[in-house]
Amino acid sequence: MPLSTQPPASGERYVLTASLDNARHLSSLLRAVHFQDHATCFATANGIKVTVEDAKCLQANAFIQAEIFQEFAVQEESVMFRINLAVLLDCLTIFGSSSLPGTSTALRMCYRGYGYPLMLFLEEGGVVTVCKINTQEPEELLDFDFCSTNVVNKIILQSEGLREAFAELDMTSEVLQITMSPNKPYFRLSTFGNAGSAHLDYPRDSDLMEAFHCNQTQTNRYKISLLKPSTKALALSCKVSIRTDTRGFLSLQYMIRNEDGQICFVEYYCCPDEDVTEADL
Amino acid sequence: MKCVIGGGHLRVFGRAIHAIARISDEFWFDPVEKGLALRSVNSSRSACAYIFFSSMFFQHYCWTAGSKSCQREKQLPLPCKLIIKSVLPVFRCVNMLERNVEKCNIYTNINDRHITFQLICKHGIVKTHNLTFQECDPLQAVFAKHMCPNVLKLQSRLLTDIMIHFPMSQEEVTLAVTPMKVCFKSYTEEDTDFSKAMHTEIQLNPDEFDYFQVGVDSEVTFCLKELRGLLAFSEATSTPVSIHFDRSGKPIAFSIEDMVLEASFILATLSDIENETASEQPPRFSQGQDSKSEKTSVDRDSNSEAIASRKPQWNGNSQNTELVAPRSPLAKQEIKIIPKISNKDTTGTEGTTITETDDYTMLEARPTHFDYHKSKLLHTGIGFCTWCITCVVSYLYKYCIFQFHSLFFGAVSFKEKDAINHILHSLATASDTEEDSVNMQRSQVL
Amino acid sequence: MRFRAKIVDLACLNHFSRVVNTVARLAKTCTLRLTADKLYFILSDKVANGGVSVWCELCQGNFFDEFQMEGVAAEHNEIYLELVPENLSRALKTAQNAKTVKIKLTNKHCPCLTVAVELPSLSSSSRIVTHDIPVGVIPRRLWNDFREPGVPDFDVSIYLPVLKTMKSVVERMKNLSNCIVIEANLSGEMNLKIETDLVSVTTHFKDLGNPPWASDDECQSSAQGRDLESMAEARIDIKKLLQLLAGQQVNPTKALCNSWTAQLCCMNVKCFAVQIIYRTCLEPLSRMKGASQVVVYVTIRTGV
Repeated sequence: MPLSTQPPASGERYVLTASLDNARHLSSLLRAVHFQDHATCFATANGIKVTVEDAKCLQANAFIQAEIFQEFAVQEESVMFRINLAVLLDCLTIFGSSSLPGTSTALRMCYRGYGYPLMLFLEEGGVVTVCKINTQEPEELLDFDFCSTNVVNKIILQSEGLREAFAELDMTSEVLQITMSPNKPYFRLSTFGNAGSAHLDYPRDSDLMEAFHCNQTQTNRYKISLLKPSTKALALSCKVSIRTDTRGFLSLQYMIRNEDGQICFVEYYCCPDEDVTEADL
Repeated sequence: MKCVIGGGHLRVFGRAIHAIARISDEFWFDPVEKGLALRSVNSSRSACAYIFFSSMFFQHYCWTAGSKSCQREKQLPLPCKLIIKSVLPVFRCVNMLERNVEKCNIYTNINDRHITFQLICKHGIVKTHNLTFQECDPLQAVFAKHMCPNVLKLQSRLLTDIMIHFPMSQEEVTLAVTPMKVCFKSYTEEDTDFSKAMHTEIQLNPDEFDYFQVGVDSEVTFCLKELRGLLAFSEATSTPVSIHFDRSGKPIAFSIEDMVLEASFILATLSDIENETASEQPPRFSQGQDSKSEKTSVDRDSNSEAIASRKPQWNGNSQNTELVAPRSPLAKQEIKIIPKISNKDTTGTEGTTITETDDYTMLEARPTHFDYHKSKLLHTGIGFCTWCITCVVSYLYKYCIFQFHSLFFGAVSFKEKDAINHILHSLATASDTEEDSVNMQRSQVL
Repeated sequence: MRFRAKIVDLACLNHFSRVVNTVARLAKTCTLRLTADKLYFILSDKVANGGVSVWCELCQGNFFDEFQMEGVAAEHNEIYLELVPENLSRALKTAQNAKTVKIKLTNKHCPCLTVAVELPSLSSSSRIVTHDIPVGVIPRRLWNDFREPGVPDFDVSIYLPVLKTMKSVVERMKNLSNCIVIEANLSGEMNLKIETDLVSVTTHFKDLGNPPWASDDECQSSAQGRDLESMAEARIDIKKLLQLLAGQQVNPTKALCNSWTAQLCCMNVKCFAVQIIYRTCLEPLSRMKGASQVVVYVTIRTGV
């Protein structure tokens, strides 16, 4: 049952069809936002945005632009559905998540519209897998209203510099406190755990610092449990942009380069922890 | 206290912390003039570790509280008790440390009871961990290694090669030696199902050892967990491991030593009925009614130099103060200091350990009696201790005295007079004064 | 009752440990049957549905340089032992660079299979490691429980695909469902299927090939005269299948040729079991005695 014979018979109309030579390009990006089982997919002619949210305080978006796909067609202005991300990931990686060099899983993805399942056709080395994943009613998404004009401080770091820091975060601390300042300590991550406090300081002239635009000293706390999932995106990324706006909202943008050198973005928005009084800071 | 560890030595220091972590949940940072000691004793008092880094190990080492003026005032540095769980993350990935960290500053702040570990990393990143500590004098064991009739020295690689034959689930092993051969074998408790447990035995020829001295045939059983930690540490320092031991029931010491550091892990060994001999149990008498205790107490020689004590005697504070005595002159008058700080302390200082051992407890206060030929003749065959007892009994009373002093200036200062009297009343050497305590301690060691 | 055997050849030792590993992954306890010529590892799970049974037969001559055994009586020259194969596997693991390995039946505190490993050492004499593996001696009246399974009547027999691929597929499917449907026909096609409320997944394998029937086979296979295209189907516990696949070395070393065959055994229309046959053999070159083939029959009975 080769790929060419099985997929959409010409008579059937699909609102979304996409094909990809290497399904890993998609699965690795989806894994970067996989901290909840449900995701909302939103497709336009530009590509697909996959959104995952938690506790009305955190939103993660993976952007897979149309150029990543070898074939990408959306018949309507936009197509939206909700899907179980864990199931989708298991299907996309059915032939293994770390394929040997030289082998890759080809993917064809079709969606007929509201109420229909998402169809996946995967092929590797002549073996074909057909998956039918039921879709659900999309839910309304949060609007963080994070706009670049309100950004107070912005830092671009090579991800390498943050990876170890996030891996070692003291999870007994409820919050991660981020200080960004034009003066010392410039960029500081702090935790306050059972054992004591820990601070991680990055000087502005560090060779990991790609850009440093801090206009005023801002100290904000974020629930560490909310930020921990972003570690997945951090692990894949080469650079990360850390921005805060006037309200203390945090935006983390991860630049992810796939094996073919194509660049995609994953973005996390997080609300500051509201229980903080000025005295705490 | 302030010290600076260079990048190259950080791996060794990190491994030391990991090795100490095998012993207990807590450990002490104990700065002395010549260097920094890390100490740990487990809650059942069956294992104790001591790792000493000489000042040469550090790029910079200052043992007193801070400035030179402090030194003039003879202000002693604080030994601090730390929770291992909070320190481990600082040294989590030991191999990464070597690559990413240029140096590590460690300093204490007495005013707010904090110890700071500051890692100066690549790319100008600075990691600062402020950890709270308890100001509290360390427990330590004094173990007369040089009195041990059996000494083996071997490359840590060889010891690792031996240990891999035992599954990770193996908790205890037995080391059996004769002048002709050395044998490591798995130890299974009597009540375990023999039909399930595999028994492993490794025989080695004496010429595989760097040093081999067997003064007495013996079989000692000890815990593997702590030893595995020491092995990982000794591999980082690539120093050989020396093993000092005696007969079953007496502690075994694994130690390493090089130019800038020394470490010893002292583990209690299991004593069992077959191997228990009279010389190991100098004449003693029971003060209890318990049948087991009666049985174990040999009263054919009513020499009052030794006692066998039982649980009623080992409860509560008397226990605490017997086990530990504060070193600091400032703390001298504070008799209650031990119970106070040991509220969250290991159970041992609370006296529960002894309670655990309860009826089986056999205590000796006259520990050094190395007449092995005689011992065979006097074999009583009724000595019996469980693991716990060994931990406490042989460890505390046969060979080790917990005290507050550094190994180098081995004076003991027993604090609570009543308690001392209470415990040592039948000892010829028991005394109220510190001076005599010192003597007593010496007489034990020598 | 006596038994002692010795392995000198490292290749044979590795091969033997690999077989024992395979058995250890499949069974917590198993029966080791010793005869003058052969060793058998047997697991007969009495559970009617969803059970797993294993039959593994080895010719002693292919592995051992010395092999002496003496059964309970001349007319019943066999020994049946119950053992934890994991123990034997662990004992052999420490013997990887051994000079010799001796296996003997001893009576220490209880009957034991004693594995004595002679290892090279830093000194002139070898380092000796001995492992005493407790065994239970199975009395003769129970021997009948461990009879060789009759060659099952199967509908379809098919070679399995590259194990790595199959393992990966089954692993993902295990995340999605508890049971898996295996379908296969006589045209070398096999499908693995799962279906739940959320998702249905089917993986199609083709050109796998069907093993030829042995002409002297007495069994009247239902496969004969069967429509080549029609699929036989069995539904089994996905965990049991994965347990079998995961226990194998995915990248077999060069010295080994492995092949896997699945047989779908049917009764009327319904399949009652999937038998997976694992053949592994040491390349004849490494040993003069010829190829030492080991066949492990694993039968996973279908659920209700």
